[in-house]
Amino acid sequence: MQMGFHYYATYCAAYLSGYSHEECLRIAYSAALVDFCTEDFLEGLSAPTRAATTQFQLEMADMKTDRKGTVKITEIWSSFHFLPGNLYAEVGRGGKKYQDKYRLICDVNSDLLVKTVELARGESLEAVGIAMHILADTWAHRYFAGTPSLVINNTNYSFYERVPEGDGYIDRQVVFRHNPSGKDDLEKSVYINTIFYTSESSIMNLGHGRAGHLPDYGFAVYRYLPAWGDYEEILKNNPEDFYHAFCQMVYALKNLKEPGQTFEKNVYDTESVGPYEERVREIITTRSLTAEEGWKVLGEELSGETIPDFSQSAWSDKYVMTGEKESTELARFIRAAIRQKDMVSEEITKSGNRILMKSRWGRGKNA
Amino acid sequence: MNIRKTIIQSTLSVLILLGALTLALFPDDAIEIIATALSLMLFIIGIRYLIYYFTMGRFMVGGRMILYLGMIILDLSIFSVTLLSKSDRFILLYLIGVNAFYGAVQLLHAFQGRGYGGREWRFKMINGVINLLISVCCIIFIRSGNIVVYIFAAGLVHTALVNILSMLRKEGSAAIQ
Repeated sequence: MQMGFHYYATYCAAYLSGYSHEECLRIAYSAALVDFCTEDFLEGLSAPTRAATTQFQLEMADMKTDRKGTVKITEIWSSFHFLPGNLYAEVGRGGKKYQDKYRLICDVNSDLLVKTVELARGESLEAVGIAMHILADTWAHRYFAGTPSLVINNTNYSFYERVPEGDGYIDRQVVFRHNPSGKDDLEKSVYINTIFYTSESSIMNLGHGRAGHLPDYGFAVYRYLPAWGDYEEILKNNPEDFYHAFCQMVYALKNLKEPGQTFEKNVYDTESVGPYEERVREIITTRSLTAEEGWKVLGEELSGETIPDFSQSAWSDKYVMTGEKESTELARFIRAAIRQKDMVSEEITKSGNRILMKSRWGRGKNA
Repeated sequence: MNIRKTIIQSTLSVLILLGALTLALFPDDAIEIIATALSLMLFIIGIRYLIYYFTMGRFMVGGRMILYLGMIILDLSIFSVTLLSKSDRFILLYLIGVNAFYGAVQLLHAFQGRGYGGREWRFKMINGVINLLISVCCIIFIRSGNIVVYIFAAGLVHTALVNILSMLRKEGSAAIQ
């Protein structure tokens, strides 16, 4: 998902849920930091690298996709960006290895999402922010898996973006280019993706890399043939999905605030968002690379306060300078990230999935 | 690149260098050994593709391409074996053909990469041109006794060096938000 959604939209959702400006900032900052907290970042702060919530291009380029590397990649991407939709899915085809990968496909309203939100209950606002990032990403990243896999994450030429033309829409074939330093051309539906690589576990086949950033854009409506879908086309309607993500965030944030509540699947707080629905939908469907401006303006209008721009070092400076690190926001973020990663890893392993086993034969110490 | 691939690539590079050395030292006998090794290598690659297809690839949209790739490579390995009973010059022509084909594929990749605006196309372009030049030189000197064998050995050294350089290069990837 775009930075604008994770930071400013989370702020808006938190404010609509009744949190104060300062609380909203902490939740939003935590949600946004998930996309920046790499092992390198943590190493620089002498913080535990187990808390890494993402990997940047260079880290991934250095990453080996052998068993140990795959465990690390899968733990990060499945726990924070591609929460598995159904770890016990009836696959009905393929061997154990194929089924293990299939069961990591991300989807919305899963049991793991309930566990993720419940894990943040009674915890710090930083933990709540992490949960909101994960919740939002399930809507953007559904149908892709947070593990390198050609047979799950590959896409082909049958990929069309639905773009407005005149009074209606046309389906325009998406042109994918492999140029890591390039930029997406939204006007011509030219998007950067990872190169086709026939190796099953190549890092090129991680998550939605083969579909480029298209799943991250709120305005994108596209249809394609997922590699796992047995030639059944999927029409992904991001404007609708992102609106659901926003309403579900408001529900989850309100739910976490109230004592004695339990988070339920398929519940969306359309009532609280209702007065702003048109505005929210307009922001989501704006064709922009970052989608920051619209959300920022809405957030500032809601609270009447200025929302500072996101800065990766906002919490880390305090963490480095202070003697009592445990009481800092970053320390709370780190604790929450480790808990989330441990929980998801444990659930994956408990389901009988061998992807996180360090031994090829499913024996040995689990990661 | 994972550790297993790094080990395979390193071993392959060393074997290619050894092949080049053997070819240069024993130009009369080494061609058959190299052709056998090439056949064996293609056989293993083909079988691996087929295993991947039957265990996973057949469930993937467009996975049949992996089946075709495996079959073509396997077929090529069997074809290579049949050439072993022919004359050395015939085998050499076949090896030159394989080298030229590899060079042409590299050139195609380079043109595609340049079209995409990538930065790695120059490496592939140079590699492809060198492979094609070696093949052309081999054909020019095919009747000049051992000279053609030495040229081909130089080509093998080049291939091994390119393999090693490829291992040291980083894979680029698009970031996921």
